[in-house]
Amino acid sequence: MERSRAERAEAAVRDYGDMLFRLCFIMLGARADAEDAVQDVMISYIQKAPDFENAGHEKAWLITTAKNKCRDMLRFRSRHPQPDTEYLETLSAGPPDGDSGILEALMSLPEKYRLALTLHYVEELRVGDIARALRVTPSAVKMRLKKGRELLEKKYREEYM
Amino acid sequence: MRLEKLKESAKKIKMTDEMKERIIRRATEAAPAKKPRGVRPALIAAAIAVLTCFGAALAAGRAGLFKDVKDWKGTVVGSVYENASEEIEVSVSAENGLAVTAAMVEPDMAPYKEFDSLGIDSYKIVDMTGAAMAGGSAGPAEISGGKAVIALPADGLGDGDYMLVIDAFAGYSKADQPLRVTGGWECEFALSGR
Repeated sequence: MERSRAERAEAAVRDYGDMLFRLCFIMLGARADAEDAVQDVMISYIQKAPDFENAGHEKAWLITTAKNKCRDMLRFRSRHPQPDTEYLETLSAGPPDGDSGILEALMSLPEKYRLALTLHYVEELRVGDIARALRVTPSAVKMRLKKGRELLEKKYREEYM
Repeated sequence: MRLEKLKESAKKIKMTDEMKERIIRRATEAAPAKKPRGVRPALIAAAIAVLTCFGAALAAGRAGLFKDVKDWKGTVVGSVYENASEEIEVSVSAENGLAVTAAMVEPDMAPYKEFDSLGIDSYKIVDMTGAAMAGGSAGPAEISGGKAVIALPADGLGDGDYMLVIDAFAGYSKADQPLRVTGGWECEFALSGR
């Protein structure tokens, strides 16, 4: 029997909510924006009602959609600069307490490296799965991981050590 | 070691239970009611057709929407179709020059069914350091079977890995202004033996 919209959304948020939220937070840098992005992803999830081949396909679809939502939000933000007060609020909602700076260093990297590093080293996705989610070749993912590691190390050494 | 620390820090980022409940509630409420926010003026004349498009678009749950373009006085001077990232699939072939294949996911739906040909309104090619190597607009190319193959110049690009970044396509139809279809598309490709 087909599950209702609410049940589908609930299951997806339960299974992938934290992963999506982390990804969106690392992309956008603010909790409120990350929540909006995850909400938009779930709206797309309910509306499109895709038939997934397996759990990996579902996860890849959610990551791709989250990435696209975040890009749309970043694009909108660059075209509509926020007033100072809102910007300060955004800044204040930084990484969680206890972060040694490594997360801030990650969040200062260009988007494509941030995404690849997060999916591989935080979410523990394999290179092939990342390639599928980001719609790039596995060699491109490996390249992003290599360059991303170098940039992260450089940034962390320069600003947080 | 550093990457372990990264994982440890990042795993602390979690949604609260309240946030999860809020997202489920809002998404469930919003999903059936989500509608496009504007109508392309050229299509208003065919009211029935527009309604059909909307109905079908809602049924398919598409994310794109029409938006008016206004001048500084607020006068509507055109329209644009936004948020189309998931409605056009892009691939690049680098075998004989650069050829971009843009495949419309739903070619029978508005605005795509109106188009005779499709061009790239704004693109750039960047190398793996992120430096822009080329850019501009290209095409248009005739649409056949829901696809358009658009040739891009590859002058000045040596052997190596590149990324094509497209911000907007331009859809052309007879006796009408081109419609900008915006979104974000990225495709990596490699050139060798040049």
